[in-house]
Order: sequence, then structure tokens, then C-alpha cells
Amino acid sequence: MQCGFCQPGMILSAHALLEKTASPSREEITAALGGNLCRCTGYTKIVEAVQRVARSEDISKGLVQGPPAEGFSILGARARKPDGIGKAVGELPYTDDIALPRMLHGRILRSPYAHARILSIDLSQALALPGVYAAVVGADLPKAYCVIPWTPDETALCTDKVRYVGDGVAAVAAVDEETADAALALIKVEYEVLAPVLDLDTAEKAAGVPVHERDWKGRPRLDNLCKEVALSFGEVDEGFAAAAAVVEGEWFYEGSSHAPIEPHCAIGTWDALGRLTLYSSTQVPHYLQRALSEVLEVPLDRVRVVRPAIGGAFGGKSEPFDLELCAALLSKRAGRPVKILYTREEVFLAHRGRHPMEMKLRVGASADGKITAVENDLRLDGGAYHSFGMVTTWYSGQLLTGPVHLPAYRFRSRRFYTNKPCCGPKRGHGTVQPRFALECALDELSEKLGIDPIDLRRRNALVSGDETINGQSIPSLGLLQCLERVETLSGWKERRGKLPFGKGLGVACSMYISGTAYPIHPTELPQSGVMLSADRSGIVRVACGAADIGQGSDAMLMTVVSEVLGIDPDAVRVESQDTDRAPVDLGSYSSRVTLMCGIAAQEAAMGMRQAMISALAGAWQVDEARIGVGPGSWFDLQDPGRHVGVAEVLRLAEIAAGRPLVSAGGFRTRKLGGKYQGGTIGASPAYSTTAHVAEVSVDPETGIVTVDKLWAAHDCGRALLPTLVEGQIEGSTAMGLGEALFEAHTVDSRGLLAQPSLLEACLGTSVETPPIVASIVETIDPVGPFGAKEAGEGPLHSTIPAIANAIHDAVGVRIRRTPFSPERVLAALKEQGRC
Amino acid sequence: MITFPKSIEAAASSPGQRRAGGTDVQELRHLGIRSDDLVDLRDCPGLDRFEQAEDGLHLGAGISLTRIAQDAAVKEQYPALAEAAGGLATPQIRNRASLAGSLLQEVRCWYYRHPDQQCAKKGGAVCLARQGDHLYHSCFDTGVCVAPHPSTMAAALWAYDALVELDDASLLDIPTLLGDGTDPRRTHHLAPGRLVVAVHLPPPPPKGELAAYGRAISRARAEWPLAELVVRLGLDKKGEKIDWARLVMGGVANRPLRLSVLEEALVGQPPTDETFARLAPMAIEGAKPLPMTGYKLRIIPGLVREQLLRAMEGAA
Repeated sequence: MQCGFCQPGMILSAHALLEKTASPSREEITAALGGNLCRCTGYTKIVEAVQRVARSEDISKGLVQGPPAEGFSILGARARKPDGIGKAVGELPYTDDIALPRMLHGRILRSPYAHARILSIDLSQALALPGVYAAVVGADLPKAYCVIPWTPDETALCTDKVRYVGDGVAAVAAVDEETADAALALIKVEYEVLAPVLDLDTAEKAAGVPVHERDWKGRPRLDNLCKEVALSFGEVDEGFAAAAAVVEGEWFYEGSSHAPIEPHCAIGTWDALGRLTLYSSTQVPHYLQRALSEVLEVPLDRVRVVRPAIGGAFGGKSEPFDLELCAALLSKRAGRPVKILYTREEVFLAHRGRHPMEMKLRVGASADGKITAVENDLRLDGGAYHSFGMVTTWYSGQLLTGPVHLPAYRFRSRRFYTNKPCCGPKRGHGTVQPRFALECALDELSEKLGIDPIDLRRRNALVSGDETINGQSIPSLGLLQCLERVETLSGWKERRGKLPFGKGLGVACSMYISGTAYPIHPTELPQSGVMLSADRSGIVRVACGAADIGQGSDAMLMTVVSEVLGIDPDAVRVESQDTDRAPVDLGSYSSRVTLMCGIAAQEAAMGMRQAMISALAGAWQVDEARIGVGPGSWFDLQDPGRHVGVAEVLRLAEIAAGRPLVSAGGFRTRKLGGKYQGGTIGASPAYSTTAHVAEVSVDPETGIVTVDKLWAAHDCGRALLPTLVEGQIEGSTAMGLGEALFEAHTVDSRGLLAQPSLLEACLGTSVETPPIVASIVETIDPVGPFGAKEAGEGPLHSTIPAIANAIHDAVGVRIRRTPFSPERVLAALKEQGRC
Repeated sequence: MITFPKSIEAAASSPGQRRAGGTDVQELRHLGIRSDDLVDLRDCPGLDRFEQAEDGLHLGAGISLTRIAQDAAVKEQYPALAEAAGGLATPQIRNRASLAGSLLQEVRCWYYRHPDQQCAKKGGAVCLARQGDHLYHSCFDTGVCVAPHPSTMAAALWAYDALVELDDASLLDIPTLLGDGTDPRRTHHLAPGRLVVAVHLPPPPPKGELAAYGRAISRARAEWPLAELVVRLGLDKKGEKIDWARLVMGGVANRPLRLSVLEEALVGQPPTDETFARLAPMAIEGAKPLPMTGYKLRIIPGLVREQLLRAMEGAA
């Protein structure tokens, strides 16, 4: 279980199956769950859970269900998520479960045109409709904002132009959604329709009216170029001149959306003192708090953001959205709480998903398979607004320099505005696309040079302590171990190249950051803070603003504190939902939480532990060095018979201090990265790495690709909670599989979204998600908390090229465009004369 | 307003949209395509009937697809019908969706389902998909609207020569119910006010049959097919030659297509892979793909051959 949003449905479907079939096969289980979508788990743990229930295993044991890693009291143990049962029985509220007294419901009127000027908006009839309490337009909230502070190009509702089909134009609050919808139908908007910019070529030509006619500073803008980055490292031309083989081509990675199963939802409410509380399904409570403060012009200390349980996010809820700003304003106007819940179509329109990316890539290598140079020219289709666009543009180049060493590397990356739903950060932000191209090119190189693809990667592998060509230093990197793991598990040596036509194996690898050293809002303040306070009842409260989006950051905080204090995890209470109550964490993005919040929690817990040691040593009148810690009780190292419970130690410490026991910790940013402009972008305290092997079947008559099995080995430094790490590997892999084979987020020639529902979005179900073998590699990172680093995004990247490379092994065709749909595979087979 | 009539007569005389399983009805209402009163058939007696009559099997209009997929009598006498019912959508949809609802559902075209778009099916001037994105649309041009007919059950029931019983006791065959596809506004030709109460399946062939249902689909489940096929074959006494053949294809035109030319060509041939591979391309005769649906012509022969072979597996 991760976000838990699909869990009740899964349990019902599983229950119905087990009533009829006592010992179902894997196929029977996946078929029975086939109508319940899950975006987090890749269905792997869910299928395992059904199998365990079918075997009558007792899965209702306590939180900790297995032995810890050697030398630890809880770290590394199999454990249940603390929020699991509450979500299973529907006890923990998601935002839409919350109903405040006198609450109204809001809806947003959306543009039917991809590109048009708003000439006039008439709200009078809508406001006259009985049951309508407030209606607002763009002019009511004119301040432009963006999650990146330098590039504000978006307003809560459009003020001058609409820039995609679905752009918000007006918002209404009424007694219920039906009345609000009826009111929307009464709003009269006059548009002057403009020619839309719907593809990269049109965007680059800039012949018509640009998507944005002013830049972020208000200066006229003549083209659609949003951001351009060009950097070069090492002797690239010499590298190509020295190459024995060069692979060159154009790859295209299609856009896709996060499609969290829980739609975005927000509730705004103001108290009598003029303070705003906003409940929202958000990954970034702190940035949301800032945006609300800036756009609504309310001081930051008068804005409180509450983050209830979140039903999946994956980057799709990591910036402010129109519904949050509109709920806040409508609530102020109406004098009542206002809830806005996106429809499924609105979730896809709000988007901020994977950028469609076109990559002209060239890779050279020597005869012995050493890469000599890499050059990449990228165009990013950004959609209507900036979002994280500048970061995406940097990442698309800067994060490609590991885990295989690029001795010479040049890239140019350009992001363009188009009249489409805005792209942003989706799991593996900015790098999944170029990684696909590079890893496919490496496969082609290994074919040209007659070198096994795994060996080729080994020959170029970076190792712990290395620095990349663009100046990123890598404290730990387990690429060689990951490659060996998937090689062994998949039977690579025995099977690759020996499977019949139509069956194939493919490999790929990747690297990803564990947060960035350079935060979105540059500040000397810590990126993450943790406050501990103990209660004489024996509990320890952990306050930290980290957004648990299902990935289990609450469980991580609980585990770290439990480990350091030797306290039962059940006695650790995490408070992470409320900006009024928890110190700031910047948010759940860039795979930063385990490393940064983990370090802050470790520091806070070490402070409390020291106070407890002093107090106990004083009470026992022994040297502090004699105090032994946990699990469950504290003891005298020289007299292990002498021990007390942790609650008693906390009580002694409070008596000794004469005040409640508190302790704080923080993650402070160190300066990292290369000494050139942009050198800090992509510089991370630690890097994870992944290797995938995919096994596929390709039907040469229909072009249908079936992934039979996936092996994923991921180096997460240390698995603090191995079940959750596996869940991240499995979920990332499954999401990658969906992007490889099924998913797209595209518009037609009018700019209409072609995938407005979960059906059209083609998310993988349990039936087509194959067995995923997730394998954890531990390199014990010198920076991360207890050696831990990233696990939530990295394991997505290499899934896609591994599948593409397996298709080549199966039927001999190179598919350079995602998704690998039947019509595309058939076309490639035909073109390359394979059928 | 929702009413719950207590008899078929009352239901037939109530104006509004009929709801059985509601799997499509709810979405159409949510999208604002339908907003008239709801006539819920929950309390109508007889819609769940399941009768072995002299003239074959009578299935009530309200029977769920799951029941059709799992019923032993259906599986034995109408194997491709059971396979089709079990092969569409998801377990949850099949549990809820009714037989008649499956026949009468609306197309999946996103232009049709877009609240702001007036396509030909909604009374607009042109088929928006023709000019727009139609990757999953028709490759046979049988009328203005190019959205593939959505009903898998219609293809399967046609292959079994089923008749649809209406509330006035009249019987319609499937081609009449579906029409010829030329009127873009009609996905079916059930007269206003009429209600489907049952489906009659004729007795199975005395010498049995070999049958299969299959779909080409980019995902394994939960998706409308790129192309789908119902195959029924009868062999001669020795099992060496094809006596009769029945093939109905879906997902490729705005109505299911009966592959009569291929059926005739198969008769008299040995039921071998060589025959199937040689004749399967006849399934795309007369096709006229749209700019984005040409790939379907490459998928169809493979699908036809595969399903003919799968049908023959029953002979072994």
C-alpha cells in the first residue's frame, strides 16, 4: 500500500475473488483486480497481499514484521505502513472527504479554444442564479505567479488570453456542484480566436501570435522560446573524431500525465481574524502557502495550508493550481468555506506532466566500447505555461552525465511554449526522455561494436567517489552491482540472443538525484526542519512539513526517530499535515525527502537522545558511555540486567531539564556542483542508480508488444524501509512500462485533449503489468541518513529503454518513438523489412 | 428525476433515458450529453429471465455480462458469445453492465463525448474525428461518423443470428437493430419509446461448432479493441473440410461487419493454417482507412488467422 486511494476497491475485488476461489493463481488475481487502477504500486505488492491472504497468513501483526538490518534496532525491517489500516477502513480523510459547515462548492469555467483573446466576460446571469454565492474572473486575482519565482507567467484565471483548451476563465461558488455547473453555463464570454501553436515546428517558426506576448518582466516577446540552455564539457569534436563507431539519430518521447487516482481537491476557508486556511491535495504545502500569500496579498503568517492524506501525486501536485487560488478567493467573497474538486478531465487538463521531447542525439565510442563523446540537441514541448520549465530544460541536459561516464558532452536544450496543457515535473523530471534516447543509442553501439550491452555499460561505469564531466560529485554509486544483479536474475548470459524470433531481452541503466543542493527559492534557511517533542505519556512527536504523498515519508520519519531513540515506532507520532504546526520542508519533489528530512530527523533525534543519555546517566550515577539504547528499553552496558523503558527515560529527562523535552534538526544546503552558470543545477548531495532488464514478446503480425517480466536493481544507499523501497521500484517500473507501451497525452488539430479520461489515458492495469522483480542494492552513501538515498523516481527511467532494446532483440527493429504502440511497431517492422 | 417503474409496460411508456447497469448512462450524464429524466429498470420484472425455450435460449435484457460469460449453458452452446462477454471491459464493468445496455451503448469517440464539441452524432455538420485525431477509429468507411461501433456483444450476437425481443413482442435481428451506419446520429435503430426486453439465441447447430472470440488491443484489458473478431466454424463429418463459417468483425467500422466473402471462401477448404493464412487478407477487402488507421489493415489479417486457429483448437 502506498497512497491507499485504490485500496478499499482492491480489497473488495480481492474479497469477491477469494469468496469464489480459495487459492487463485496469479492470473486469476490480476484478472479479478483488472478493473481497479493503481498508480503507485505496479500491483506487485497488492497481488502478493492477496496471495498471502489466500495462504491464510496472518498479516495483521504489529507494525514491525521482520528483523532489522544488522547493527540496527528497527532500520531495514519489514514493516507495515503506519497509515495502512486507517486508509483501508476509510478512516483517514483525503481532501474531498472533508466537509466543513456551510461549505459551498466551486467550479471553474474553462476555455473551449486553444488560443484566443478574452474580449469580455459577463457574470451577471450566473450571479443571479439562486444558490450562487460568488463568481470571479481573472481580473480579481491579477498577480502572476509560478512555482519558480523568476518566471511568473500564470494567473489564477486568465486575464487577457486563453492559452489552451481548458484554461480557466471564471469560477463560481454555489450550494452544490450542479448549481455551480448551471451557473458556468450562464457566463457569457466573448473571444477573439487566434491561430493556435500546437507543435514544436510551428512554435519554433513563431509566425503567428506568440503564446505569450510579454515575458516575465513585461517586455514584448516575439517568439515562443521559453528557455534555452547550451553547455559543452570536454573535447567533443575530438571525441567523435577518435570514435570507431558513431550512432546518430532522432528520438521522440511522447508526453504523458501523472493521472493520480485521487483528483486534485482544495477547500478554502477564512476565520474571523482574516486568516486563510487551505486544505489541499498538494506535494508542496510550503510553496502553496507562499503562492497564496503572494497572489491573494495576505502575509505569509496568515496563510495556513493543511495537507490531508494524498491519493497519489508523482509530480502532478507539486505547484500551485487554479483550484487552490480560486477556492481561497471564492471563500473570501462568499464568506463561507468553498471546496473545488477537479473532474477527471480537469486533472488531465491541469497536467504538468512529462514534456514531449525531440532529441537529436549522437554518441561515439572507441572499438573497445569506451564512450568518446555525446552530443544532444533537444526540443521540449512545454505547453501553455512555464511551470518548472527552466528546471526541466536544465535537467534534460545536466542529468545525463552518469551513471555511464561521458568524457566529452555537449547539449543544447530549448523549451517552447505551445497552446496545450502545461507540462511540468513528472516522476524522473526532465531526464526520462534523454535517458531513453541515450540508452537506446548505447544498445545500438554495442550491436555495432559486437560488445554485450551489459559489458558496454560496465566499461563506462562511474563508481563511488567519481565526478561527472559536468562537475557533479557522486559520493556513492552502485551501477556495477545493479548490472550484475539484473544480469544474474534474468539469466542474461544464458538466454540473451538465444530466444526465438519474437522474444527478446533488453538492458538499460540510469542515475537520479536525491534532492538538489540549490532549492527553488534560494535561501540560507534550512531546506528541511524537524522538531521533536516528548510527552510524559511516553510518546515522541515528530513535526516536519514533509508531504507524505503515499511514498511513506511519515513512516521514514517515524523509523529514523525510533531507531535513534530506541523507542517503539508505535510511540512516535508524526505531525506533517499542517504548516501552522510543523517546521518547513520544501516539499515532496526531486526525490529529496528521505535524504533531507531524514538527516534533519536524525539530527533532532540525536539531540534528544543526548539529553536522555545525560539524564539517565545522572539518575543512575554512571558514566554516559555506559548507557545503552534500545530497542524498547535503555540499559547499562556494564550491567545489562539494569534497564528501564523509554517512557521512563523521557520522564527522567524532563525532570532533569525542568521543561518539556524538545529537540530540533535541520538539513542545511551545502554548495555543490560545477563552477559555471548552471553548474549547481542537477548537483545533488547523493545519486541513486538503477539497472533494468526487460523480457518481451512481440507479435510480428499485430505489432503488439507484451512485457513478460521486468527485473530492476536499484541502489538506494541503504533501505531504511525495504518494503517501501521495493514499492517505489515496482511502482516506478510499472509507470515506466505504461509510458513505454500505452500512455500519451496529446491534442488534436484544434488543441482538444485526445485522452480526457482514464480510459483513453490507457493506464496499465494489473493484467498487463508483468511480474516485476525489485532488487535492492545498498552502497551505504556517506551523505544520506544512515547511508540512504533516492528510490522514488530513479527506477522509472531505465524501464523504457530496456523495453525498447528488448523489442530490438525480439524482432530486430529499433523503435525510436514512444509509446511502442502496435501501429508504430508494425510500421517499423514493415520499414525494416522484418515482415 | 428518476423513476422506478414496476412493469415493462410502465417502463416503456415512461419518457427518458433507460438505465440498467448504468455503466455508460452515468458517464453520458456526467458529460452533459444526456440530461433527460432517468427511467431505472431495477424493479421491472422479467428482465432477468434466463429460459431454455424450444426455439433456443432466451436471455433477459438485464442479465449481466459476467453471468453470460460464466454460465455453463451459454459456454457450451454459444462459446464465442461467452468468450466475448468475458473478454470486454473489466470485471467490475461486466458485473454491472447489462446485455441490452451493452448493445445500446454509445460510441467512445472523444469528440462525441466532449461537452463543448458538436459532432455529427450530436447533430453537428461534420464528423470531427474525420478531420481530427482518429487513431482508434474506423478503417472501413460505412457512413459519416467514423467512430467504431462500441458493442462487442452486437458482433457476437450477430454471429449467432440472435433476435432482439422488444416490449411490444416484436423481434429484430441485429443488423436491423444497428442499421447500416449511414445515419451518424444513430448508433442503433431502436424506435423511440421501445424497450429491449430479451435476446433470443437460436438453438446451437446439431453437429456443434468450433468458435472463438478475440481482440487486438494495445493493452491486455480495459480497452476498446483496435479490431475484434467472432469466429464460428462447422466442419464436415470427417473434420477435413469447412462446412460453414460465420465471421463478424468489430472495432473497424461504425457498425460490426459480417465477413461474407471470406465466409464463402472458407467453405469447402481444409481447416488448416495454410488456408487461414491464405484467405485471411480477404477480411480487409473493401477497407478504406482514414489517414491514421491504415495500421488496422495490417492487424486484421493476423487477428483473423489467429482466431481461426484458436477456433480449431477446440477440434483437437
